[in-house]
Amino acid sequence: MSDIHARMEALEERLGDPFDPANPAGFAAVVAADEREETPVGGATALDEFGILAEFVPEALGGRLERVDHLVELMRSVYRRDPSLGLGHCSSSLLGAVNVWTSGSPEQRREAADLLLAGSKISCAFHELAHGNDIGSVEFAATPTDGGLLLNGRKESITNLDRADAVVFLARTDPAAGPRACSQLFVQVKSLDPGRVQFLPRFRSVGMRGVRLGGITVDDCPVDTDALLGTAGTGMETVARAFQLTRIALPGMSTAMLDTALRVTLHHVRRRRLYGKDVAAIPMVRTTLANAFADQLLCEAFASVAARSLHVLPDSGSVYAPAVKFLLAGTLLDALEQLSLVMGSEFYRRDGEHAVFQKMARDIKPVGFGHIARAACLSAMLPQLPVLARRSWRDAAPAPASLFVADAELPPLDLAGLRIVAGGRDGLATALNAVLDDDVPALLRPLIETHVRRLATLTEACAGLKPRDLSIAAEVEVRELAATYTTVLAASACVGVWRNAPAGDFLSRPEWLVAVLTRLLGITSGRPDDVPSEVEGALVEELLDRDDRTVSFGLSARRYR
Amino acid sequence: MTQPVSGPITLDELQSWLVERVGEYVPDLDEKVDPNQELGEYGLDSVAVVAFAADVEDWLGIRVEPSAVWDHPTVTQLAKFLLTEREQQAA
Repeated sequence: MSDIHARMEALEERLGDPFDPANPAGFAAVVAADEREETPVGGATALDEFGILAEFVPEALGGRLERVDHLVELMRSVYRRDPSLGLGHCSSSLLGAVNVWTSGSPEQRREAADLLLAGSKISCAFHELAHGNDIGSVEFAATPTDGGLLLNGRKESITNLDRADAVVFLARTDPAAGPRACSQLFVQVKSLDPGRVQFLPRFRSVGMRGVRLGGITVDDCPVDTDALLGTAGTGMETVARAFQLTRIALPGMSTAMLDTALRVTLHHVRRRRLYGKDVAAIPMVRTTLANAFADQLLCEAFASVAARSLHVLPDSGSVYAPAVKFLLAGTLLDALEQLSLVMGSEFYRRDGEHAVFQKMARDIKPVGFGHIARAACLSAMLPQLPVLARRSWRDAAPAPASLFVADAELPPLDLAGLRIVAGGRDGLATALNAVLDDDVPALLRPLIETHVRRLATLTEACAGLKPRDLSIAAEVEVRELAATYTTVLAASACVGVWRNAPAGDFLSRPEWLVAVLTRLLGITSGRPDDVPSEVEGALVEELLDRDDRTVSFGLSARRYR
Repeated sequence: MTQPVSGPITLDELQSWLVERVGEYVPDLDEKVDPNQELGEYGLDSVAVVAFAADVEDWLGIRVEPSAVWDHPTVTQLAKFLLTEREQQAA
């Protein structure tokens, strides 16, 4: 099972045709389980047999995690069928484990790997309802005592907390405020004194209803000091490194929800006639389909490039990760919304053959706030903008091709080596400035020039910003600079993918790039321009062809069941 | 922007530069920055630390993570750390 492409095919095969009503891992079973707020048994069993959690364990520890881009693409096979299975049964364990991979001792890494390889879940207990994304303010305490730590406090709305065999806690080890006040603890649930731990009733949710959200209260519960991940006080620093991976990977996997929503929409409109016309031929419908396809491509291009950047440009993940999370979440939410208009009343149905659409429309919601909220992503990027502007954004230099090519050789992933700030290094933005030095088709040149000018304007606006402009109290216009920055990065990612695509490939043609660069200009407003009419036909044609051949609508165009 | 230093620098010079810079980051300060007081107490928050670390990088020509300021939270401590760091990164 070492070859990723063989594993992708094997997983698709195992999970089967999602539209087949008799498939225990198909949409009918998924929707039925969602109605019961349960994990679908058929899908979960198939994933266990595949050994899905080994995909989250580094190769050095006996698992199959080698590259972030491959992990994301593989997991799309799960998310396209059932995002709550994808999160609840699979990637939620990565949220905890990635902290162990980043800062754990060799023993802790071994322990976490053994748990996942045996199919056990690891929960990530950082969140407290009272503090939201301000996780540095958590109250859950691990107080040093003679020979150990004493846990006290409460964690809420935590995936799989009552089903996991191990938990990574974020806890206050210093009652004072400040960046060194928090630590992470890796704890096996069986080591906790059951008399001092109480699990809270399940938290119920609008979407991802199969995901069990739990809580816990602990009262003077002792744990060993060697439960600490890294030294005391490094909790937030570990977060700053480890979550670069997950803030790229999880939104990256979530693009598969748009793939399914788009596929179901096509399923609906291609078989329907209204007012004497094929619905799929109505101009408004065609435009919406082309827009959604362009959005799918731009989200996947940005996610893939950012995933590879963790290998190739490891200095810059502290800005690329929140940029991906911000832009993908907004784009995916808006795209689903637009498709629901085309679905009409079918969008509102919880039964029938298209019922999975409303599930996707609900399941996509947490991508906007789960793990980190879009607003917090902007806050995370803001303090770095002036340094990026001064040190990188005026430069022009091509980025390594491996950033943009699907199976190019990559340096190994070194999570501990990721930087907590980029220090002004931004190879993706500087690559955009270098594009116009080469031949560019006339259809594309003005659009690329517009994005390059946008970066120049952004540079002037950001270079002079003072720290007091950038705090959580930053003005809305200043926060919009960070939002605009995400579109510059995405534009550069898409241009890079286009330039490096194999000749003859759809991605090597200019039409899709015209479409995504146009969409990107207005995307942070929530109402981007439609795909230009001169390229709409090419996009719709490709989309329908992919639908006929049952291949993905994303970057890989790989065979789906 | 401060001009980068090229030659050797003393602990005293480093310390007075840091005192001056911190003063600029905390505009409402009506006293001189005490080199032995924690910077966080002057309101140098996590956002300002990112920019502050970058300024120090520009000036000293070495790489400085914000965590250096977390771990050496007073001007005196930070100056000592940066001096050693500069010698090591130059070596």
